Amino acid sequence: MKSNSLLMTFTIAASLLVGAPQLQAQTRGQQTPAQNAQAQNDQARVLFGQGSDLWYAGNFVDAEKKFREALRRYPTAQYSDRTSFFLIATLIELARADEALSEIQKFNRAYPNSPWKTDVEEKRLSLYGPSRSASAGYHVATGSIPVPPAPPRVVAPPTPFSVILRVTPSPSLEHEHLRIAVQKDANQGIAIARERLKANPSDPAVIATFGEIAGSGSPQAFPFFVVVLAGKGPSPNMWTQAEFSLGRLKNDNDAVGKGLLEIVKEKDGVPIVSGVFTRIQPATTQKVLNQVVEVPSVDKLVALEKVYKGTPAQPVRIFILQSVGSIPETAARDFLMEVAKTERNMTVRTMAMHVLATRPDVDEKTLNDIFETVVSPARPGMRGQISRGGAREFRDQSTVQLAP
Amino acid sequence: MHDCQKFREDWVAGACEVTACDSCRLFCKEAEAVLVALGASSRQIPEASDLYWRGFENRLRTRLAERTAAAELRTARFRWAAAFAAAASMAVALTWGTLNLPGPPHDQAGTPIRIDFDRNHIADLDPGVVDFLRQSELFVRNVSKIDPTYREDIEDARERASRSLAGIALQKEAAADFDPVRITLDEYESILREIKNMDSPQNITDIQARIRRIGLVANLKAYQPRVIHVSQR
Repeated sequence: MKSNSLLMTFTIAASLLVGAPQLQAQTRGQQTPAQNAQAQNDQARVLFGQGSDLWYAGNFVDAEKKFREALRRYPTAQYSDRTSFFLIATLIELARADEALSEIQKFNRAYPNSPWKTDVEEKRLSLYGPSRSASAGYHVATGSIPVPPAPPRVVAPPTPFSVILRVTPSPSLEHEHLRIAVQKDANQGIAIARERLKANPSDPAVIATFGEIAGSGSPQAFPFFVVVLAGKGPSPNMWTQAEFSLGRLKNDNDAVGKGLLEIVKEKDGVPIVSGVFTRIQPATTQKVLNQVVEVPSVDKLVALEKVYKGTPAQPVRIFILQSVGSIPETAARDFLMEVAKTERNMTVRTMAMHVLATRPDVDEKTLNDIFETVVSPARPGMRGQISRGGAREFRDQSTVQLAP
Repeated sequence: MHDCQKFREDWVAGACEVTACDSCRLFCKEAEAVLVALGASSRQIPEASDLYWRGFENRLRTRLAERTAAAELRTARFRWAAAFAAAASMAVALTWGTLNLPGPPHDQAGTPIRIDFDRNHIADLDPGVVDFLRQSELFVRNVSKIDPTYREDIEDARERASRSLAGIALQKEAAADFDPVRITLDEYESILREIKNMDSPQNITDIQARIRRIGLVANLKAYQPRVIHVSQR
């Protein structure tokens, strides 16, 4: 009994000793460390909220002041890493790269385990650009990215003073890597994107890079999008995005035509291209074909003929004829004449004649001879409608812009 | 060898007038100014006892001694700093080229990095939509980091999601001819609705997983101006 009461006395005394400082602090109106930390968090949160409201309103100058104030007054508050990231994003918006990079360095020192680290790494990559993606002293481990043959991992040679950043891969960070890879070496970047799509046909990082690939001016861009569109993987949204990009290919150095030449050389290349041309919007096909004919090589005609013969789709054939019509070489004229004489589809055949009529290397006699060959079993009255003066009339009509 | 403390004591006693020491000259100048000010005052200096003047002398000696000691300490510190700087310079000179410190905020030529924004890939996209994408990207990044236990953050996100939803129809209309952006805005809209209609903080985890799976941040980012170095233009 005695020992129990002694134990209780000790327990009460210990409780008082532990609780006394808090009690004293409360009675004096002072805050405990926990309360103090909470108050700081609240104040920092208010400043962050004000700053982010300004940011979302596009007022970056004032937003920066709020973020800096929050970080200066409450450097250890909860979510300081978030505030720091917002500050970095703000400085980039203000085109103050040096300060942004300085803040990135501070971030990496202060918050090595922050969930915002991946986002900060993205910003760093976007600032350094392709030429400096592997910045001095940074070693960024992004986990496994299936991007052979040359993964776009940003890895600097190990150095005694390097800062090791372990970054969890995210689609947006992988997109940034891929974007830089395409910028740095478009052909290699596109090869990486293709490999990634084999692993994941709906890879969001690759889809987000479509615009970069389309704007790269690489001869690989056209085959890339053709393969994407011909594949079984694309969802309706991915299909739409790929088609949109195909219609916006940058044709530097006749990249699109070179791309077509390349893909038709491959096994099954012709049916793939023909199939894609058949399925995409006619306007996109027309745009691509207009780019193809800009290639100076006569091989483009061979490629177009192959695609023509590979598709039964009337609109695609008509677009090919229109494109071929702008090729001045004799071979183009011969192809058109063959179509005009032998094509079974009368609409396509008529188009071939229209196109021939616009060419300076086709005389009236030739046109009349072609008219003589026009016999359509499906439309028996056709022959009787064509008179001797038909070729001249046809040439006059052909000056009217043909609707696609 | 000039002794500052001795000179000043002598100067106070009127035993000497000039010195080559800058520090002592400054001391004399300030003291003279004080004396002039006192002399100009209408108030007479009260007569003081011998005890006071002896105390004054002691205090003056002590102060002078303190100032001298402080000056010596500064000199010593300066010497150490100079020695350290010299050693550091030597170390840097010897190890230059083998050091590879985290990238300084300058380019390889040591000049500040100048950036600009490339808008060619979105030249025909409504600028209002571009702004909206930028705001949305940051918001989605923020949502994807929210801890389910932080109710205030979840409430903030819901409130902002509601506001964004109010304006998204207009953005989709403005981006109607830009298929990838329209698709991204559709995806974003569905995420916003999920955030707004969360019935449990735990739902945020599912939303975060979906944001990641569809690569929403990457898509929102893809149709914004790209940072380019001015030298790359």
